[in-house]
Amino acid sequence: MSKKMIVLKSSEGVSFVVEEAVARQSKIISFLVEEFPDRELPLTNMTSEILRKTIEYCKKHVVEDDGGGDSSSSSSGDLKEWDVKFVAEIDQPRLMDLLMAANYLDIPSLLDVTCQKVADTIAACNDEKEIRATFNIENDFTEEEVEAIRMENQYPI
Amino acid sequence: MENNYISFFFNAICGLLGYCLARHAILRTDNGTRRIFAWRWETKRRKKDDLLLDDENKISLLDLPYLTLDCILEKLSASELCLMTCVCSELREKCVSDHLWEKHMEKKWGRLMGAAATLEWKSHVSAMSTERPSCGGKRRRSSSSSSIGSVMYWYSNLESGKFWFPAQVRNVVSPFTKYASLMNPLARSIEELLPERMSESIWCFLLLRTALVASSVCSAFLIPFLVRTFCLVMALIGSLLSILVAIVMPALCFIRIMGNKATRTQMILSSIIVVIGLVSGTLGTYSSVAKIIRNY
Repeated sequence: MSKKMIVLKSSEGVSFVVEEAVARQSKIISFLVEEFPDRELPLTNMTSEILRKTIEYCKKHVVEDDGGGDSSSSSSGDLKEWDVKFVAEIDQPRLMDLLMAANYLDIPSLLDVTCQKVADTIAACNDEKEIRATFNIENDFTEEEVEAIRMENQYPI
Repeated sequence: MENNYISFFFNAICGLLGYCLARHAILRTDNGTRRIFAWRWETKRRKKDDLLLDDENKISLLDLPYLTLDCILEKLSASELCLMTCVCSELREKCVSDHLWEKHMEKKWGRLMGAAATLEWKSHVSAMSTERPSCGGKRRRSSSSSSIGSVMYWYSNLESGKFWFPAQVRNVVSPFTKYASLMNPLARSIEELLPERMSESIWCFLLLRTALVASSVCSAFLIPFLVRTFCLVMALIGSLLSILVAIVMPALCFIRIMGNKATRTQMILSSIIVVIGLVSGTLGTYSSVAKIIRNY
């Protein structure tokens, strides 16, 4: 396998050099590489920090993909653990950025992992006020409306 | 004979236990919501502190692309989706959409919901919407969720017990209805085989069913062993079916419906009941089969 390198440039202009196999996990990048070979790809909507995180994730997963073969089940278990640890380290605002990056670059597995983390975060909230605070959502209900909705939804869960 | 009395008392005790368990479950669901929230509060308080970090410069959940947000919402449980509907109107509209609830519906009620139950719900809905036609339009924003046809409404009605369906319970409640409900499909399918002109007449309807009953009575008499060893057959039925229906199934249903919400004690108790039921059922079946063979 040829070890072709690809240069990715973040919004601050910092360049990251990655192997093609790593970068190709993003469908967008693999498309761009085919269209424009031998050119550095500017990713203007993500910061170096997020891009570094994304590349870290891709690197981990590409190694596992190659290594997997005879012991695929155990390695996929390890990979899941690694994923959990990976998202656990990220704080809320960065998680959203990473989610946006995964969505933009079209990396399904990363998107799935980050979505799961957001869902877990929502599950950890006790009431709607906490969700609003955590996710920066503006409340456009009046008190009575919230009460009405709550009455409607009330059922033993 | 002594054996039979012992097994009868044993069954009665097990039935009482099952009843107590079911009763407890019902009481528990009355204030279930409150308890769930209290439980959540206790277990997840620690996470909360970490989450309330700096507020500025943060992407709101609503800024996410539509598909991504959908992907997140799909991962939420039913109670969390309900909570999300209180957050804001945009999320509310998304959270009540049918495709999110269909999954929960399928997961929790899919195995029970047959075509008949679905049909019953639909007629229930249409009856309700004719009763209270102004229900949806009265409230401005809540109209989207309180729309009676939505899957979410269905789900919540099932959960709260406002809507219930007899399922196949009738079959096992009474042997009399069991006979009728067993015979009806047979009669129906025979009717379908007959030419249309014949099958539509009331005489055909009556004759066919009478003939079926007569034939089953005849077959019961024609097999003398069934008549001679009636008590043994009853013992077999009792130990095989009644134990399954009265002891094993309620406990299994409890485990299945409550899932991981049941407390450890409840789970252990119901497992014990299941095991006891299975053991006594197996023993009873074995002994009655052995006796039948000996008598035969």
